[in-house]
This record gives sequence, structure tokens and C-alpha cells, in this order.
Amino acid sequence: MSALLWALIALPLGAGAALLLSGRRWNALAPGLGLAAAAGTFGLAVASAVFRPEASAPLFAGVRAGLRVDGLSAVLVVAVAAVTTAVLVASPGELGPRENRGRFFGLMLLFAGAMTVTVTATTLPPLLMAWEVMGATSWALIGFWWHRPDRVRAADTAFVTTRAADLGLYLAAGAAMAGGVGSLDLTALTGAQGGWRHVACAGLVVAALGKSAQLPFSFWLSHAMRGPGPVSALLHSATMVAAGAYLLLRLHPLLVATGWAAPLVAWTGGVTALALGVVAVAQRALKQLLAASTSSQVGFMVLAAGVGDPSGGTLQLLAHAAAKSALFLAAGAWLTSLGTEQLPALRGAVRRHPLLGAGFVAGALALAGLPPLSLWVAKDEVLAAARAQSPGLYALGLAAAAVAAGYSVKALWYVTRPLPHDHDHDHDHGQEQDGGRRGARGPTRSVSTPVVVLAAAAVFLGVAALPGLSGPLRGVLGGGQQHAPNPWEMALSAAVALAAAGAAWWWLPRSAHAPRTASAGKRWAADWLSMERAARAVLVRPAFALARALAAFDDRAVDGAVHHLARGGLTLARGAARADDHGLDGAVRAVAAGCRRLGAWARRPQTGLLHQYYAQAVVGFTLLLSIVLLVR
Amino acid sequence: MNENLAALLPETILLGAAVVGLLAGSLLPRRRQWAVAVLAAAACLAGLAATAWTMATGREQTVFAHTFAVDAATGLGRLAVLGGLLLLVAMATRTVRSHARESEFYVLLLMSGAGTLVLAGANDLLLLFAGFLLAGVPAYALAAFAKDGRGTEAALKYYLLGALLGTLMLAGTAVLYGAGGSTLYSDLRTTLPHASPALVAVGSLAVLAGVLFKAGAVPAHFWVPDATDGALAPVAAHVTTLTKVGGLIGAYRLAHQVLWGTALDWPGLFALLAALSMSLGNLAAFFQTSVQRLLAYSTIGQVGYLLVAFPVAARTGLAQQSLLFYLLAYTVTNLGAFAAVTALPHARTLEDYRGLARHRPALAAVLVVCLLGLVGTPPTGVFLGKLEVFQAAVEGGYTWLAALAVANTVASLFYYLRWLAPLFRPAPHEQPSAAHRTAGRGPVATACAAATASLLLGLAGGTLLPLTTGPLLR
Amino acid sequence: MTFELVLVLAAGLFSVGLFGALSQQSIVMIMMGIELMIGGVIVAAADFWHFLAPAAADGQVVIVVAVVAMAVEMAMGFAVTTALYRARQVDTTDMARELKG
Repeated sequence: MSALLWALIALPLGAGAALLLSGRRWNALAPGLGLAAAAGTFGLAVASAVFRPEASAPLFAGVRAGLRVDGLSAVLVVAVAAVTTAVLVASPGELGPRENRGRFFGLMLLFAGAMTVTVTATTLPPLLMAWEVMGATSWALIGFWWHRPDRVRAADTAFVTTRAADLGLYLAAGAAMAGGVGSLDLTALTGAQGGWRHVACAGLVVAALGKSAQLPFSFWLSHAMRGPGPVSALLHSATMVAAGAYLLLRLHPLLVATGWAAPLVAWTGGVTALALGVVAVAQRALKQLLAASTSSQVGFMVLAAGVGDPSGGTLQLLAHAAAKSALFLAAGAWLTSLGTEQLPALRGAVRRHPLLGAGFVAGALALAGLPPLSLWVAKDEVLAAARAQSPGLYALGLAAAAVAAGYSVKALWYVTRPLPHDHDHDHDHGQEQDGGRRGARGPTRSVSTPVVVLAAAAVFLGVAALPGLSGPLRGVLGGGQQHAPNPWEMALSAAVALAAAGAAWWWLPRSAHAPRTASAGKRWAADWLSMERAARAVLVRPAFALARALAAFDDRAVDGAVHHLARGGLTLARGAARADDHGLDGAVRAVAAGCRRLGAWARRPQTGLLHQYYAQAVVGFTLLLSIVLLVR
Repeated sequence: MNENLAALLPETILLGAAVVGLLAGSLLPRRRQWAVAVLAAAACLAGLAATAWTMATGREQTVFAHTFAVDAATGLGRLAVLGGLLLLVAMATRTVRSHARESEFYVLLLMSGAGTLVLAGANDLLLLFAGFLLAGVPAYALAAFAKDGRGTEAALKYYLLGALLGTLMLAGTAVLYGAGGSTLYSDLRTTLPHASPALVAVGSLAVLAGVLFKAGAVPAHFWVPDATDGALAPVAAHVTTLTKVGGLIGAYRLAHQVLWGTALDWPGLFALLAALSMSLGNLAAFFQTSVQRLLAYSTIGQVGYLLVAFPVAARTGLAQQSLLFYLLAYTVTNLGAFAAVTALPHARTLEDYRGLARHRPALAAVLVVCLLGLVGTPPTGVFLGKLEVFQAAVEGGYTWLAALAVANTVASLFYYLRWLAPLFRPAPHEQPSAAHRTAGRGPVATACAAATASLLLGLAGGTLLPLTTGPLLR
Repeated sequence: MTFELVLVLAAGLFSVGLFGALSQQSIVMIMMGIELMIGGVIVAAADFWHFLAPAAADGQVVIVVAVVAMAVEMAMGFAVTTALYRARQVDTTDMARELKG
């Protein structure tokens, strides 16, 4: 059975690596090969969900790389494979034949493989490795059009932010080892000793919040929107941003064990849901709106993880994945064909391409949380669980649900306006041309079909989760019937959603024709709550200043020390040479000269005259006598 | 009283041979006078045999009312003097051959040798003086043997200084007799400590003056350079080597028996004399050009090293051992150097020796061995002797003296090398110069024998050392 | 004739002889000085023998040895002087200065 699991992760990883390395060589074949790999992965995922295999391999001392498909993983594996396949179907429409399709499909498949490993990992090492691969492929995909420096900058910002948060995983791994969890098994983390458990938990929470674009990390999702549409559809709506929420769902026992983590996570999710919802309302570009709404919806998943409702969180994940990926695919198609994503410029977009437009409308309604669509059902679950924890959370969640309805209706209102008359010409022109310039092609059926399929899934998933019919789902997830929402809760949330949607629909025409000056609060919300500015001021600028200071220190102090040492060495050498020449040689010469003088002087007593010899001998002996007599 | 003449066998043999040689010399024809040389050599060999027999059979004794001691010091002195005489006779054969007074040369040599032996064994002040005269007067005559201007001037200076200092020695003897009531060392040892220190100082110093004259130490050294430079090479060898042996052993006996008991600072005096001798000898030798004069100053320096053993004689038994061994080694080495000089009678300056290694490699080798031996290069005998002497000095507390001696040894290397280095440089012209004509195979063979003996002493010195440690008899 | 008086005589002889030996340049005169010194020694030795140790014969032997020394030195001295004169025609020490340095 483990072979099934290995095949499940080997297929997308291997195919992705092969396509990535082939690059442009198989450009024509790349979409077909990629799609085939994605379809194969989907088949293997369904089989794994049925057979629930386990696999493990030794990694290093005492630590194993373990993979397992249990209830949570089964659902997610199938969801990931399904969304990947749908997005890859839509991708060739976005990327023309002149793009490097091999690289694109390879990276997408690699990402899918990494996500699969993430949701099936049972120990920290494979989770960590797959987490990093996800981050890397996300960076490569956001910056896919790397000739454009602004897109590359956006990719760098997104990558650095998530990578900084990922350090939490390393911290958690280290704390786990220090706390005595040598196997780094995810389920064993609650057994870490004392303070290390808190440290590990903190690290994991930070990593998850960063990956899921929760407060205060949300701003990176704004930059990630500069990638191609399919990238946003796969990574930044359905899979990568949900990976953080998945991790929190899986590690709920650890959050509870530390005491402070679960409430923190829940409140962070709730506040994010509300705040990013407000940000979404303030956006004027469609993809930016969708990004903020992604962050807000993931906030619900994080809230679910914090209050301990795995079924609700998973349902939210699935529903959101379906709805948001459909919306992103449509937005990407409109960007390609109409050349804009500004909401005022997208008036009447649904009427141009009816199938695509229908899909978008369905997805938007689902996103608004209107009954009886899937997101309403999922939100109800989550809110019910939240109400069990704290009424404050429940109120927060309701407010966020209202705001969700607000921004969804805003997007819907703009694109369902009647077409402006002067656009009819361009539209006719665009349809006749074949291939050609970006912004002039119309979306082909390859894009529309996945959108419709995903939107339909978003609509109908709710049915499977309705109380009374959600038994199979709950059984799959392994959770109990603890958090089934009461009928009055459902009614309240439905009423709130409908009221908010109606209010938004009524108010929008007035604001659209209102003067453009925006209030400070609106500006702040439009700027994603200035999180990026704050992050730059608090982290980026000090880091660069420190780097500059260290570089200056290195140049002046360290290099300076080396220079001075070298100069000192040379000076010392010169001094030593001087001492040797003047001192030592001088001393030697002085000794030699002295001896020479003494030698010449010593011959002088021998004058050759005997009487002088006599005199010297007698004087000598007299002196000796006096010495003998006086010195006793 | 022990009148055992057999104890005086070596001296008797030498004197007898001298008398017989004198008579034979007046009877033999001119061309047969070499027989006297043979007689002299035979006498030396007989004396060596007698000495060996005495030392082997342990017949240490004092004879003639304790005036003459036959003990370890006398034995070593006899070995050195008789061996040296043998070498001298061998090296001098060519020099004095067909001289008008050839036989007298050997006679005088034998007499001087006998006197030196008396000096070495005298246990009485008068016998010391007698030995002084017997050793000195024939040497005065020998110095003038060539009867040229230089030789006679050399003899003059030698004689006059010897006369003055000998007279001083006699005066000292009288004073000590007056102070101590006897001239016998054994009596003086008991009576002199009670006499007036000033009187003892004057008398002892005067006696020492004579003995130091014989040894050639500062301040009685003025005759050494002139006598060595002016006389014939074998005579120069004699006056710088053999008389030194007798003088130093006599001085040692005097100091050991008489002087240490008195309350005067004799060790300090000897240390001063040693320092002055070695310094003056080495410094003055730096820029000498005449070969024999250089060797003369070198012997003054060597006396300095030998005198280092005196200050510490009362404190360590190593002093006597080192002194006697050093004397033996010094005798052989110095005679080797002089033998090489004798073998080249036409080379008088350092310049004449240039290129010798090419033409006369044996003599060059002898010079190298003997001169570096005089410096104290291992494995020659003088190295071992110097080592022992310096060790005795350090043991006895005169480390400064040992350090000075080492410094002087290093300095002395300069003038020896000044002589040795040109040996190996190429001669100005290809043909062996006239200066390199040897005096014959005899001196060359003697030189080689002396050098070999020096090396043997160095290598086998350890076996001889136990012979030197016998007590001095009173 | 007291002990000290004779000693003074001896000292006087010795001193005069020493002065002569040191100040004269003629070789024979130097020898004269040396002889006077030995004369002084003889007087002193006799004095010592007579007044201090008349029992033993050591003092007498000293005198005999001194006389022998006188004779030997004289003989040697004249021989050397003659030889020098024959070789170099000089008989004063300040003329015999070829060997020096």
C-alpha cells in the first residue's frame, strides 16, 4: 500500500521536474504531458483516499520521513489534485505557444507534488521540505514573466515574507528536538517538555499564519497577484494559503495543550477575516479584491482550527478552493482578453463571454456566503463551533461574513453592468483574430469549462455538508457531530448575508458615481491596512541599516584591522631590518673594531727593549704584591 | 731518610745520557754525531719505561728527606717531558745536522729536560730553584744556538729576564726561609700560617715570580715572543712547551703544599694571572705575521687557560686532574705545530704558508689538526683538557673565569684561522715555492706522529684520566 | 750586629742591585746589578740562619745555592754577551731591539 502513496507523490514531483528541466524543448507537448500527469495524480489521489495507505522511510538519526493518508489528508489530497487538473486545463489559454510552457507546467506540477507531501506528512522533516518547495515554486511562478522587474520584485516580496514566517518551522523543529521529541513526529509534539512545547507551538503558529496570509503577514498576497492567473487560481486561493490553515487543523491538540495558542489562533483568524474583508471592500482592482477576500476566508479556516472544528475548517477549505479558483481563472481570462482588472473598466464583462460570466456569477454568489451555497454551510459550521468557545468570536465571525457578502456583491455588481457601447467593436475584432496579442484574444473553451466546473462544485458542495446529509463527510473526516449548527444560527447567518448583500447592491451605484476623493480610513483599507509599510519600517529598513552598518564595519574595522596588521607587519619588518643592519651588524662591527684595537694595543708592551721589559715585569709584580697584601 | 735512587731513575738516565753524549760528542767525528741523537732518544725511551714501571707498580714515595716527591703529578710530568723530548730530538735532527756543535744540542736538551723533571717533582724550595737553574741555563744556550743576530738577541732577553726573576726567586726563598725556618714544603706548611702575612706574601710572590717565568705567564712573559721568534724552531718548541710543564707542576705543588694554608687570597691572584695571560696572549696574537711569534703568543694564552685550574685547586679535586691532562695534551699538540714549522724552515711568515695544502698535504693536515687542537676542537686532547679545566672552574665557583676563557677561545680561533685559511687557497704560482721546501722526512714524520698522538689523547683520554688523580705527597 | 741591622744591609744591597739592574743598559752592568741582588740575598739568608734557625743547616745551603747561582748566572751572562757582540756588535740592551711586537 505504501507504493501507492509513493507513486502519488512521485508522479507530480517527477513529471514536474522533468517538464521544468525540459523547458522550451517540448513546448508543444508540455500542456498535454502536464495534464496527463495531473489527471494521473487525481486518479492516484482518489485511490489513496479509498485505501488510506501509509509510508515511511528513514531520514537521519532517529528521524523518519513519514507519510499517511488519514481522513483530513484524503479529502485534501483529492481536492488538491482536482483543482490542479482544472487549472492546468485552463492554463494553455492564458499562456500562448510562445511562452515557456515546459517551465510553467513543471513548476505547477512540482507545487502540486509538494502540497501533496505537505498534507500527508506525519513528521516534521518532510513537512518542512515540502513547505520550502512550495515557497520556492510560488516565487518562481509569481515571477514567471521574469523580464519584467516589477513582477520579479513582487515575487521577491512575497517570497521573503513567507520565508521569514517559515523560520518558525525550523524553530519548532529545534524546540521539538530540545524538548525530547527525537522522532519529530507531528502527533508527538504535545509530548515536548515544558517550555520547548511552547516554543515549538509558537514557531508552528507563526509559520502557518505567514503561509496563510493572516495578519500581520497578509500584504504578500497583494504582491502575489502579479503572477499569471492560473498561478493565483491554484496557489493563492486553493492550496498554498490553505496549507497554513491545514497545519493548524492537524496540530489542534498541540494548540490546546499549550493553553494560549488555540485562543490566539482563533482570534487572529477572526480579526483577519473581518479586517481583510474590509480591505477587500476598499479595493478597486478585481484580483486585489479577490486576494484580500482569500485572506479573509482563510481567516475562517484558521478560526476553525483555533476552536477545534476540523470538519468545518475542511469544508471551508474545500468550498473556498472551488469558488476562489473559479473566480481567479475568470479574472485571469478577463485580464488576458480585456487587458484590465480595474473594476470600473470591467463593466459588463460577464455579458461578453456568457459561459465564463455564468461561472463567475456562481462563484461570486458562493463567496458571498448566500444560502444555500457551500460557503454559507461551511461558515455556519465554523461559527457554531466559535460560538461554543466564545460569543465574541461568534460576533466577529458574523461581522466578517457580512463583509464577505459586501465585497463579493461589489465585484458582482461591476461585472454585471451593461456593456459600454464603444467596446462592441473591440470585442468583435478580438474574436476574429486567432492567437496574437495578449489582451485581444478571447477566452477559449479551455478556460471556461474549468471555471464552470469549479463554480458548480462551489455551489453544490454545500449540499453534501448540510446537517443530516453531512454524515459521510464527517465520517471521512473522522470528526464527531459536536459542532452541528442550530437552525437559528443558520437562519441568522443567512439573514446577515442576505442583508449585507442587499445593502451593498443598493449602495454601490451611489458610490460608483460619487466623487473620487476617498476618506483616510478608506485609503488605509485600500492600502491593505498599511501592513507592508509597517513591515518595511519595522523589519526591512532596520535590516538594511544593520547590513549597511555591518558592511561599513567590515570595510573599516575588519579590513582596516587586516590592513593595519599588514602595515604593522611591514613596519616591524623594516624596523627589524634596521635593527639588524644598524644594531646587530653594528654591534658585530663594533666588537670586531674593538678587538682589532685591543689586538694592536696588546702588542705594544713588547717594545723589544729589555729595560722596558724589566720595568714592566717589576712593576707588574709589585702591583700583584700590593693586591695580595691588600685583598684578604 | 729514603735515598732510593731508583725513584729518580728518569732524571738519572737523562743526566747520564747527557754526560755520555757530551763525551761522545767530543770524540765522534763530525758526520757521526747523530749517534748522540740516538743516545738521547734511547735515554728518553728508557726514562719513559721507568716512569711507566713506577706508575704501574704504584711506587709513590718521597725521597731524600722529602725534598723530592714521586707521585701522580711527577709521573704525568715525566710522561709529558720525556715524550716531548723524544719528539724534539726527532724533529731537530735535520735542523742541527752538520752543525759544528750538533752533539751539544742534544746534551743541552737533555739537561734542560732533566731540570724540568726536577722542577716538576721538587718538594723543597731549594730543589725548586736548582731545577729552575738546571732547566734554564741550558735553554739560554740553546736559544743562541744558531749564533746569528736574532738568536743571540733572543738568548739575551731570555737570559736577562731569567736572571732577574731567578734572583727574585732566590730572594723569596730566603724570605720564606726566614719566615718559616725551613725550605721544605712540609715544614713550611705548618710554620708559614703563623708567620707575618706580609712576609709570607713577599716571599711567596717572589718564588712564584720565578716559577711563572718558567711557565711564561703574565707578567713574566716578556721573553716568550722574542725568544720564540729568534731561536731555532726546535728550541722555540722546547722553551714554550717543556719548561712550561715543569713550571706549572712546580707552581701547583708549591701552591698546594704551602700557599693554600696561608691567610692570603691566592686563588684570586691566580685567577687574575690566568685572566691576564689568556687575554694578553690572545689579543696580541691577532695581527702577527711571523709564524713563530704567533705561536709564542698562543702559548701565553694557553698558560692562561692552564692557570684557570689553580684558583679552584683547593675546592675541587678536578683541578689537578684537569691540569695534568691538559698539560699532556698541550705538550703533544704544541710540539706538533712546532714540528710542522720546523719541517718548513724557509717559511717564516703567514704569507709563506699560502697554498701549502696543495704541495704538502700532510703538513697542512698536521697544522690543521694541531692548530684547531690548540683552540680546543673535539676530538683532540686539548679539547678534553679544556673541558675538564672549565668544568673545574665552574665547580669551584669561578664561573666568570670559565666564561672569559670561553670567550678567549672563540677569539683565538681568529688568528689560527688566519694562518689556516691561506693554506687552502691556491698559491700565487703553480710550482711549489721555495718556502715550501721541507727539511726532510724526519720532521714531517714527527709532525704527523705528534698530531696523531694529539688525536689519540682526545679519543682515549678517558683511560688516562684516572692516572692523574693521585694525591700529592708531602 | 743585631738581626735587624744585618737585614737592613741585605735590603740595601738588594735595592741597590735592583736599581742597577733596572737602570743600566750595558748588559754587564745589568749583570752586576743582579749579582748585587744575590749578594743581598746571601746576607739575608745568613742573617736568618744565624738568628732564627742556627740548628739546621738549611740556611747554609741557601747561601751555597746562592753562590752557585751567582757563578752560573755570571758564566751564562758573559757567554751571551760575547755571542751577541760577535753576531751584532752590540753590548747594550737598547741596541738589541730587532725582535719586537
